[in-house]
Amino acid sequence: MVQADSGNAELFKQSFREEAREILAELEAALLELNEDRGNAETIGRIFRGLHTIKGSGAMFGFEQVAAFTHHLESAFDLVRNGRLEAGAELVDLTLAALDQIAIMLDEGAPGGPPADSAAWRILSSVRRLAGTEEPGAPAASNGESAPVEQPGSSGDLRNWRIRFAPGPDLMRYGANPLLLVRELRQLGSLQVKAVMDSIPPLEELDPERCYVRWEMELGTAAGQEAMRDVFIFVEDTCELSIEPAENPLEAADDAALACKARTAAQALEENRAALPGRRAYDKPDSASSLRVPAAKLDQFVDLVGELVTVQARLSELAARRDDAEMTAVSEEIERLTSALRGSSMNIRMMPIRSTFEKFRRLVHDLARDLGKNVELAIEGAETELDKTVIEQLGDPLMHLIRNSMDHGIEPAHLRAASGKPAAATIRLSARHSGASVLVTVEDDGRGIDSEAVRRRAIERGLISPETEMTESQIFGLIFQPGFSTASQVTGVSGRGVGMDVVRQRVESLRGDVEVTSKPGQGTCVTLRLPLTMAIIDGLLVAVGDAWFVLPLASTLECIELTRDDVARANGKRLANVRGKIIPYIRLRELFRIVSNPPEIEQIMLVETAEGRFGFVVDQVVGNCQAVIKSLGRFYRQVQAVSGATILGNGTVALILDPERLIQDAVRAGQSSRGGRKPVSSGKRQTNSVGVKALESSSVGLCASASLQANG
Amino acid sequence: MSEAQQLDHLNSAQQAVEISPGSGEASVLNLPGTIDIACAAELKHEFLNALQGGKRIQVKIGDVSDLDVTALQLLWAARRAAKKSGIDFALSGEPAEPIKRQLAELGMEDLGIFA
Repeated sequence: MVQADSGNAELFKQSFREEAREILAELEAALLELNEDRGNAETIGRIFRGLHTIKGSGAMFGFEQVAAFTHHLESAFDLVRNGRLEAGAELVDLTLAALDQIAIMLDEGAPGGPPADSAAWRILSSVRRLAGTEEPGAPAASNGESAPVEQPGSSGDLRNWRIRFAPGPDLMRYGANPLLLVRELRQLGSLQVKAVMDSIPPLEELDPERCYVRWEMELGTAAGQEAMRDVFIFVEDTCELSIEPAENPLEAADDAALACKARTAAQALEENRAALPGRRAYDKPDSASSLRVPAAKLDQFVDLVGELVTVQARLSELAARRDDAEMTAVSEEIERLTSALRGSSMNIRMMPIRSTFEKFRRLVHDLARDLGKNVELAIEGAETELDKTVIEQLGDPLMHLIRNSMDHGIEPAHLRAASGKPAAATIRLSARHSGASVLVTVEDDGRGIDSEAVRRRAIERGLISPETEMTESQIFGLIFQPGFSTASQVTGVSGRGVGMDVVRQRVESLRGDVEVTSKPGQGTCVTLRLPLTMAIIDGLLVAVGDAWFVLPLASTLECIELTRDDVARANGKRLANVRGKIIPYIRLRELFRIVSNPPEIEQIMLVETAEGRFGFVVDQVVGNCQAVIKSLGRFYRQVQAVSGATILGNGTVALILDPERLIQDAVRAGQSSRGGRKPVSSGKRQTNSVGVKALESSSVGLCASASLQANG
Repeated sequence: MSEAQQLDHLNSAQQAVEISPGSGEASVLNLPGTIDIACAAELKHEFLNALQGGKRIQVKIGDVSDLDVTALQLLWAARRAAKKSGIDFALSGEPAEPIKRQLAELGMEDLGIFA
């Protein structure tokens, strides 16, 4: 076969690797589906086509080893497709192992390299034994190109088909060869071929590397249309292909071709276009439906948009100060565009969570086999879109959760039978949007968590004191404590510890949180709440003294005034009366130890959190802002109440607060000091003094450096 | 293929697809053993040169043992261009057996490419 013989060959190889990995993932999913539904012809067809594509493209791009290896799998699935081989569990498992092997070969990237190692051989010979295609001695070293196509399924009647094939302009550049396609077709039956040259332009205008020839063919075969399409499978995207039952013999086309020859090429071309408008895909403007872009480029793009948002804020501020109508108009226009640009750049980063979810089918399949349990994985909401950074980070926590469910949550078969549950356990993996968050849930129908046992264990480990009163959800939260895992295994509680602290850590580093609900005997549900995006948020800018803070707009509810009279009426308790409801509040001035006098009338920003409604007391509510999140660096990582910082239009730095976390800390501190719901107590000071100090210094340090920047 | 390799390839093509001004009033193109996409641009250039020369064109195909569709469409277009300008375009040497087979397989045996 003609190799992709240009400077782009390495590029093609890389793109083949990427494509092949995607196909492998699809194949894995399809195989697992097949495992559930053995006879599904559509799934079998998908598997066959996937293997065929890997084989074909592999050979085309010089991955002969991959092509040769895949060829045998393809042969086996051709037999399955024709109903001559049963797709049993053994074949599925072998093929799964073979896919892993292909992935290794791709990574090694040794095109046509050393012969497959022993693992690959073992798999191959097992597949061949199953398929009954075993040969004495070493199997023929077919290299994809010369790989014989299996005998076509002779189930159908002999029919004549008319095949029109107009290759895309780049067919030859990709290293494909029409001759090989024709040869492959010929193996399906008796083939008549007619090349049509009427699209070849005059010599001066001819692009020597482009393929202008198209073919009209007639094939007498018993094979189905699918088998014919399979021949074109790896050029199908770029070519025009029609396969239809032939009514008339080829003569009509013959005449047309002869007549064309007599005319000038230009005429022929024109007529051709007029007669069959838009016949060829590439006569139309290029309309690639998607692009493959390196993730780093995307990150860079989003960074730039972030910078732009920051500069735009400065422009707006400047325009507001200058009081120049023209400048204000330009500034507003830029604000509008920046906001739209920000929206669409965030949107580009969104991708469906499907690939992450699908990956776990294999994990569940393999683990179920190892543990001797019967477990099904149900996937819901795979189309839900999330920021790619979030998706990338989500794999590990989900894996730990699923492993835990399978290992400890789901009971052995006899226990399930005893409690009247269906023999096959279900793990449900789902994703859905909820406001500015996405909820990802891992749910099982296993034995559930015994909250009393968890509590006992936590007391033994000194994590809580015996008299601490806790809600069930707080008790379940304990299983995420580092080191809790080993304890739970010793006591034989339902487990759920292995790697659970990793889950919480990872999810919190994504500014998300974890919630566990469980009913003994009925199952456990772990919900991860994750932010939609990681880079820019809509925030509300507030000021306390000369410090600035940003609260995420999504969590803010309303703003009310707090007068000195109100404070006096509350008898020193930090509670506000909002339309008859008592709402506790936190003074940011005290929390961040900002030394300045509060104004006569302060503002309370009300926020909604999982713990209920709370208020934050600030001097002034400045307004909306688009906050580009800058991380605070490693030194401030333990300061969880601050999710980052942002640079404001005037060049100063504002800390982005995490209301959820601030309130949780306050509530926890309030409980441990038995001070009711009083948010900031002495207990809090003790446990969190490091955090507060860090906050203080970070605020001061950042403000100083920011004003330097602004001045310079 | 590296740049250096590419140059080498082109050079070798250049040496092979050469026009000899001699042999009377003909431009003679001597085609190399393999004519494929790698030397297609070069081949087109040589054909255009020969056509501009205005003399009759003789293409030696005796050495050709392997070719691809780009070569076939070039030969076809060159012959058509010569005919249009009234230039005699002749092949010398018999195409090798595999080449004939390839033409038949591609449904091009009746197009007179190697006539």
